[in-house]
Formats: sequence, C-alpha cells, structure tokens
Amino acid sequence: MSQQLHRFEEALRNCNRCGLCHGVSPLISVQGLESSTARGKIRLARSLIQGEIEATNTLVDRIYQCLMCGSCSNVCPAGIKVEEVICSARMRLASAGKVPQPVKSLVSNIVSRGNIYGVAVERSEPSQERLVYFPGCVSSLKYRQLADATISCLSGMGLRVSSLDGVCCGAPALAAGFKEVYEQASERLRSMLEGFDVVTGCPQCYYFLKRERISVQHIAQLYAEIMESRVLPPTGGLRDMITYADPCYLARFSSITDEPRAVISSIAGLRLVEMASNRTNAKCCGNGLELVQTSYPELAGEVASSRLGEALELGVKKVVTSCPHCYLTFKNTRRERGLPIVIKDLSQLIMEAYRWEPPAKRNRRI
Amino acid sequence: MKTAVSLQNLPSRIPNRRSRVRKPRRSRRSSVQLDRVVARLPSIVGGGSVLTDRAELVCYSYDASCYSRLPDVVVFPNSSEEISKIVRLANRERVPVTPRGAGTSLSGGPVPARGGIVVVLARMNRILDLDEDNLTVTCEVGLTLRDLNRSLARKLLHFPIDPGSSEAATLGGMIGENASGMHSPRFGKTKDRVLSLEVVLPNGDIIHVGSKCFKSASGYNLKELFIGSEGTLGIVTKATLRLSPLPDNYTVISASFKTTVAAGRAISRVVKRGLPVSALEFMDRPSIEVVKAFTGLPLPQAAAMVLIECTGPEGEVQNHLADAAEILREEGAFELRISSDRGEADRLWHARKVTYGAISRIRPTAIQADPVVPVSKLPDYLARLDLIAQKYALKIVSYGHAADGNLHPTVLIDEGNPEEMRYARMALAEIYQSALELGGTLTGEHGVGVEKSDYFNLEWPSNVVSVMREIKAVLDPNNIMNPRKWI
Ligand SMILES: Cc1cc2nc3c(=O)[nH]c(=O)nc-3n(C[C@H](O)[C@H](O)[C@H](O)COP(=O)(O)OP(=O)(O)OC[C@H]3O[C@@H](n4cnc5c(N)ncnc54)[C@H](O)[C@@H]3O)c2cc1C
Ligand code: SF4
Ligand code: SF4
Repeated sequence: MSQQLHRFEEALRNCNRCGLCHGVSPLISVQGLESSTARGKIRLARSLIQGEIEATNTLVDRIYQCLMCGSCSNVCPAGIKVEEVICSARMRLASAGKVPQPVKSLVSNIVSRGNIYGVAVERSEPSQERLVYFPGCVSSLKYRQLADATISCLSGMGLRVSSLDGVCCGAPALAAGFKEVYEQASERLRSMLEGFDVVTGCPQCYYFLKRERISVQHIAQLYAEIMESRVLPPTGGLRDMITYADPCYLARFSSITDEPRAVISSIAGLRLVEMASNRTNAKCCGNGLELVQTSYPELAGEVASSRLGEALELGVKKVVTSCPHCYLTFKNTRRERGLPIVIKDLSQLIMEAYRWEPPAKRNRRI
Repeated sequence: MKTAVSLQNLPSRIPNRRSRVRKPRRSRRSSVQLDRVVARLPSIVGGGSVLTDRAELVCYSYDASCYSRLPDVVVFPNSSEEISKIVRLANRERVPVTPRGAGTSLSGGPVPARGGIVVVLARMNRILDLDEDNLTVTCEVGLTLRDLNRSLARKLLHFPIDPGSSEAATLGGMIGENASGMHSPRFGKTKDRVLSLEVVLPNGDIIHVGSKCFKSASGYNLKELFIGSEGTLGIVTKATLRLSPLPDNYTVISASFKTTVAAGRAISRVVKRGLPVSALEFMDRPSIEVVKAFTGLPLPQAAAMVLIECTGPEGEVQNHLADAAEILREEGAFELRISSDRGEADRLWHARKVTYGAISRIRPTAIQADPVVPVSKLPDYLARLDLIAQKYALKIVSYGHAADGNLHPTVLIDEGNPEEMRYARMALAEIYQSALELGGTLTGEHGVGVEKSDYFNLEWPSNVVSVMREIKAVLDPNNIMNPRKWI
C-alpha cells in the first residue's frame, strides 16, 4: 500500500467524531449540514472507499466544496490533516472522472497553458536578476494591478526583480485531486527557478513552492525585513482604520502572522483593528484554491460575506489582505452584495502610503 | 477496514429474568407508509429542508459513539408547529422519529436505531427572550451552547453548564442527555438550570412544562421527566434557562500523583472536607500524555493529575486552595502548580476539554463509558479499572468529573480487530458491573442510548423498568420516539 493511501485510511479511522471541528467550520453556518463539516466529509470519504455509497453528485459536491482552509485541522485533537484526507478523496473521484466541470476546465488549462485561466503567455529570455517575482495566476492574469503594485513597491524599496508571469504553481491541480498535473507543474518550476531567490504575493504559491524546496519568501516577509533594516523615505501617511484578513495558507499553514502586521503598523496614521477571528484562527475567505470560487461561486460568496461581516461589525471601511485569492473573492462579494467596504492588497496599501507610481508596462520576464 | 459498529451486529441484550413487564408496542411499518411520509414532508417543511440523498443520510447515521444506522429521511423543521405536524404524520404512519442536535452524544442517543425520520433542530436556534432582571433566557433548543454563550457574554452572563463538547453541542441535546460539565460542583447539571420547557409529544400535541419561577411544587415534575429522556418521550423545542454572571476571577491548582489510587484518595478527602470548589477533575497518565502532545502545554509527567478550581473573593479562594493543597500533599501529590492567571487556567480547561478527541491518537476506536460511583469509592474503583485493563490486556484510559465520582474509562481498540472488539465488550461489562457493585450508576451524563442498553437491567430491577415502560407507553403508545434504545 502506498504511504499516502495508508495515511489516508489511517486518518479516516482516527476521526472519532468528537465534533470539535463543527465550531470552526466555515461552511456549516452557511449550509447548515453535517456534510459541511470535516467530520461529515471524512465520513463521506470513508463510506465511499468502503463502497457503502456511490459517488453521487451530492457526494462529489460535498467533497469538492471543502475550502482546504485547515480550520478543522487546526483544532482537531486527533491530529487529522483534513486537507490531505480531502485531497486523497478527490484523487479517487478524479480517477473515476467524477469531478465538477469547472474544476476539470481549470485543471486542463493548467495542462494546456500552464495557468488556471488557459491564457497563452509569451516567455522571454532568462532573467539577469537574482530575485524573481512570482505573481501566480490571479495577480498576473486577473488582477494585474496586484502584480503592478508589488513591482512598484519592490522597486521603491530599491530592489531589482524580474517577473515570471502567468505560471501556475500547480496547487489547484493537487487540491483538485490531479497529482500528476501538480508534479509536472512543480517539476517545471523547480528547473526554471533553480538558483534564483523567489518572492511571491500568493500564500498558496509560497506554501507549495516552499514544499518543493524552492528558495521562496512571501512578500509580507520581504517587506517586513526591508522596513526593519533600511531607511525608507517617509510615508505620505494614511489616516484610516483598517483590519487585516489573515489568508489561510499564510497564517494557518505557514505561521506568518506578525510580518504583515508589522508592515501595516509601520505606516503612519493607520490604525489596525483585529477581527473576532484572526491569525491562525482566522475565518476563510471562501476561495478554496480557486476551486470553490469557480465551481460554487454562490457558496464562496456566502463564506466571504460572513468573513467581511466580521470586519463590518468592527465599523471599519477597509480590509487588507495579502493573498490574491482572498482579494478576488472579497472583491466579487463586495460587488455582488453591495457591501460598504474597500478591499486592498498589502502591496497596494504600501504603494498608496509611499505614493509610489505603478510601473510602466514593461516587465522583464523569464 | 470495517465500518463503525452497526446496530444490526449488536450483541443480544442481557436478559431480564426478574419479571415480565408491559412493553410499548413495537411499531411496524411498511415501505408504503414510509414512502407516504417522505412524500408529505416537503409540504410541511419545504422541499429544501428534506434530505433523502444517501450521501446526506450517511452524515446523520452516527454520533460520537461507535454506533451507526442510516435514517430513511432527514428533516430540518423551522418551528414547533412544523415539528408537531411531522410527529403527527409519523405517529399515524408508525414511522420512527429520532430528534438530533449536533450528534455529539457518546452513547448512540441520536443514532436512528430503527431508521425512519431524523429531525435535526439546527435551524431552530433563536434566542427568544433575555430577561436580565431575573437572569433567565428563553430560546429554541437547536441553538448551540457556544452561540448562546457568545451572545450572553456581551451582557457578562453565561449558561454555565460546560460539557467538553461545548463548541458543538445544542441545548436540545444537552437537555436530552441531562448533560453536565466540568463546573458541575458549582453550577449543577442541565436539569438544575432548566426552568421550563416546550415539548412536542409523540401525538403531535405541544405542551409547556415547568415554570419560569425559581421554584414550583405544582403537580408532578414533568419537566424533569423530559430532561435526560434522550428523545424517547417527545421533542423539546424551547427552553427557559437560568443564567449566571460570568465569573471574574478563578484560580486553578493542579496536582501530580504517582498512582491513580492516591489521586482518588485525595479527591474523596477534598470532597469530604466540603470545600466549595467550582471544578474538580481527574486525568490519568495516558490522557495527560496525549493532551500534552496536542496542546503543547507543560503538563506533568505523572500517573495522575487532579485539577481543582476555586472562584470567589480573593481571600476566600486562597484559604480554600490552601486547605485543598494540604490534603493533596498529605495524599502524596509531588508537584503542585497554582494558576491564577486567567489565560493559564483557561488553557488547562481547554486541555481537559479536548481529551476525548485526542485519545484517538493512541488507538483509532474509543469506546467511552460514563459510570458514577460514590466519591468515597473512587480509590477502590480506580484500582478495579487497573485490574480490568490488565485482565483483558486492553488500554483503558480514565479521566473525568471527579467531584461527582463520574469517570470516563475509555477502552481504546481498533474496531477493525474483532478479537479486540470482543474483549472490549467484556471489559465494558465489568466496568459497569464494578461501578454498580460499589453503589454507583451506569451513566452520569452521557445517557444510556444504545451503548448502555445491554446493562440497563443490571442497574434497575424489573419493577422500576416496568414503571418506566408504563410511562413510555402512556406518552408514546406506538413507540415511534427514538425506538430501540434502552426502553
Ligand atoms: C468531546 C466530547 C466531550 C463531551 N463532554 C461531555 C461532558 O463533559 N459532559 C456531558 O454531559 N456530555 C459530554 N459529551 C456528550 C455530549 O456532547 C452531550 O451529551 C451533549 O449534550 C449532546 O448534545 P448534542 O446537541 O450533540 O445532542 P445529540 O447528540 O444530537 O443528541 C443527544 C440526545 O438528545 C436527544 N435530543 C437531541 N435534541 C433533542 C430535542 N430537541 N428534544 C429531545 N431530545 C433531543 C437525541 O435524540 C439524543 O438521544 C461530550 C461529547 C464529546 C464528543
Ligand atoms: S475534530 Fe478531528 S476527530 Fe473530531 S470530528 Fe473533527 S475531524 Fe474528527
Ligand atoms: S478544510 Fe475548511 S472547509 Fe474543509 S472541512 Fe476543514 S474547515 Fe471545512
């Protein structure tokens, strides 16, 4: 038996149904179902592999609706890594062709074009710079302003970078149960990025590049380091009260919670207030490595609006995050539900504070 | 890999030879009747509130025990009136009805032992009236304890019954099981805090029992008949509860012992001294170790740990703790630690709360018992538990609410191993038998459910069981409410 299969089966048996994960489930307050919770999803996975139930559409939905947010694993006293269980269950479903159509399209885009949007991206000569900025799919292809803000901040801080645009780290494919697609993507990245230092604004890219032993920092770490060690020009100051939404893959999975706060606190005039759930206990934004956002946008929106609700309860008008996926889902939700709140990425906030201009349309790529 | 123990494979009941008693009628139903019920339910609660997909049904087949059985249909009513209609329909068609809160019961209580309808109260979760003058709250019982306490915290109040499952458990489930928690020495059990109830009877009638007043001697105490009845007599829909102000300071003392028996002796002496402790908990070595691994707390290396909490004015707390510390030392406590910092005390209680979940790190299947013995018999009982573990070569972990003499000896096995499962059953029988021999009772707070049905007749003589059956037969003549449990 492969090690992964063994771990999967062991995790399925180790859930003793204590129900502690109910209290943190971001889906149960929206759907109100036992199948929304880790306990329910683990039972579904177990019943599926024991042949008690078939892969009906409902089962496929419940397994693919998991946000892989790690909230449950964070509190699970039995030590179950629920995201790994869900990933293994999805591999089973994927090998039987039981995958929601939007997930299939997203994965086939990664296979055919190297990114989740299926956009052809032209590649130029290898970079001369040692530091490579890896924006990930959303910042390079959907919200280009995030990549621009990051490049502008890095150059404002005196760093020269080249940017590797339109390339997926492969994480959504792995999360969707397509392990080979992930392995191919990460193999390609390892060879492209060998010998470089990488910085990314995407917590998922950060987590998975690091897992592949690529030398990588999240942008919040780099900003915090620079702001501590160098003298930057004085900020213009932003008279504002804001809150910071910790992204799951940065806070829970990578324990990076102090750095973004240090960056925010260094900006004169800003007052940071904390939401009821924060740091490693922060609620998920609902994006679910883009899989839930694309396949179940309504559900993603419900989860996001519950997260933004925490911010609104504080009376703040601005939420800052340091994840393009959170940014995307929050933006969609704000627009669709007319919520009176502004969404900013950490880099946009810094760019605004220092009054740096977005870069001209010329980024060297590798 | 094997599934959780299916009810069909349960060992036969221990026969009750003492007398023949009138049993409530066994409900017989055909699939036609069931189909009729399933077809009618959407007209009562709306289509979106009825689940029949097998994948969803699987998720309502279990609780935190190791029993499971698929329901035929799951409904999510929004009001007492809808529940009344559901139950009336089920009664007419003789289809079993099992109420369910969060499914954290440890006895198989919400497992639909004969299939039929599972009624989930999760959507009935409103706070209806907060009476700050009288410190009471009236709410629908699908509300979780956590959500109730979160909103009460704004008023510096709380509902102080705190089972280890407080993050998920609903008020209905707590009433169903007469739950209690770590602070029962101070705040009592659920029944001590429930003033009145609204209940839907098996014939669909909606009745109100109890009184909003703090005392009432008016007629039979029907309220307490429903509390702890595990959903076998009706469905509780609303409750008026008695609240307490949030405690502002508490100090916890933790003591380590070289043997569980020494810890037991210390506990019984602390109780005998009559010290007004607000909590007194016990953990043995394996439970300390797993909790330490999970929480990272610097818990002691000891065969047993006793946690005592005192609340109240500073000076009094110090005096009581000094008295307790003296007894603990005399009984051999080798490490005493006082945590007056609230954060530290809360971390200790959190550690105690996650014990059940954490012990599956030792073996995958945990079968937890819930016996109570007179506190003076705790040392004796702990010694017997050691012998039982040795006799069957099983891992038995014990922890629990020591001030009440309520322990949770938990047999750890792998349910995939039939031999271990057989020994576990034999060990459990002895665990219960020993408690009864010492003048104890089968269950302090988890209820009988499926788990202890086999031992019920060991505790109660047939003339008592027959009174219970008569009561059941009067209220539920067709035996539709949570059937095939202990009654
Ligand atoms: C980790 C863990 C720790 C625990 N710690 C404790 C503890 O310290 N103290 C303690 O007492 N218990 C404890 N328990 C047991 C359990 O959590 C409690 O019994 C809890 O009260 C059950 O609530 P629930 O909402 O999950 O009810 P469920 O499990 O859904 O139901 C429990 C019983 O009540 C019935 N019921 C549910 N709702 C209603 C209703 N509206 N009307 C009538 N009957 C109803 C059900 O049919 C069932 O028989 C623990 C369980 C776990 C998993
Ligand atoms: S917290 Fe862990 S062990 Fe408990 S029910 Fe959830 S997944 Fe299972
Ligand atoms: S990872 Fe998040 S969405 Fe998935 S089961 Fe756990 S808490 Fe729920």
